[in-house]
Amino acid sequence: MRGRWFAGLAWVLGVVVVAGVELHGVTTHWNDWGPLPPGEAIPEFTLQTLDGQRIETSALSGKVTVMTFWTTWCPSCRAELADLDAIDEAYDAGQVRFLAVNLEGAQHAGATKSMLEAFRKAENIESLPMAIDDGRAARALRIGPIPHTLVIDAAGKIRRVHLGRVRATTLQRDIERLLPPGSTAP
Amino acid sequence: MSAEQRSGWRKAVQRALTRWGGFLICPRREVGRLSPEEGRHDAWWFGGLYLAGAEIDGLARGLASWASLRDLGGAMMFGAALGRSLLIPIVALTLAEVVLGRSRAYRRAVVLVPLLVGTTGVRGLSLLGVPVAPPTWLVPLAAGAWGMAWIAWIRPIVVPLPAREDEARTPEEGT
Repeated sequence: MRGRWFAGLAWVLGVVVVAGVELHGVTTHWNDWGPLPPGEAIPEFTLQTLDGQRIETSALSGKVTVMTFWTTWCPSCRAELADLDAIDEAYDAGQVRFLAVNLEGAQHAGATKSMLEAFRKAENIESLPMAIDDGRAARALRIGPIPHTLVIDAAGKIRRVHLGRVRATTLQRDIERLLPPGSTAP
Repeated sequence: MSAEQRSGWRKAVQRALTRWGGFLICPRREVGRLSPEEGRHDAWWFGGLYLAGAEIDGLARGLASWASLRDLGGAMMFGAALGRSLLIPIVALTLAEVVLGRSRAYRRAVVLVPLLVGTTGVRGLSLLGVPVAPPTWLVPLAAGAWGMAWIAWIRPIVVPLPAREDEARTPEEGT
């Protein structure tokens, strides 16, 4: 009986010790988990567009920006890109910017540009600007589930974060709340 | 708490640890030793220990999403993390109940012991820096298969409850 008691104590204590170490890890890393929340300023990183230009995040201020992070293999992302492509044309480019940032640049940087050009043609995405992330933006913004969509105000602050597919009407409502009164809305 | 209550608790903990140790080192003999009333709530304890030992990281990340966003989307992220964490023990217990049959299902908690020890053991090794890196799905699958093998092995030893006594149990008492 004593052997069984020791065996029971040993494995339960083992579980409790592992749980304790994991909890310690949770308390240490808590502030680094979860997406960057609304209210935070967008961190500094650089993206490369499909035509080879570089976009610094400091250049995003001055306009409301809708930035969605996606991959070619994600069906929800493809559906959301189609929605964004449709509403992109409805807003004045001087007030609202849309940007679809592909996350596959970290895995195959050279191939991504041609891959995305082919993807654009296949999915019939005409006007939505696209960029490639080499992993730095994903780490800075703590991107997790995709599509991951941010609505950023003209001052460069994150105002809404949407995890998973977001409806076009929801995004339009978010945008209109950030536009000055009397701005052109679709 | 009175001395008598403390003594009662101490004895209950000792009995539980002895039973759980027996499940690990000699499950068939241990199950044969027990009466049907002993260990009725073990599935809940083992499920809780499984979440503590193997799923804290995933649950915490889901909770962090909720805390960060403070909206329905964040709550759904936590719900998804909770669902993923509970999936393996629920599937294991269900399969164990299928193998044992309704009249013997009160012993289905035994399937969680190898799952607990296997998944927590691998997590413990990786926390110690031992380079253990199997595919994420392999450890619970192997540990679950080990648990199911034990369930099939102990089945002949588990005393089936008479049909009338089995139907009289509420769903809560069945565990």
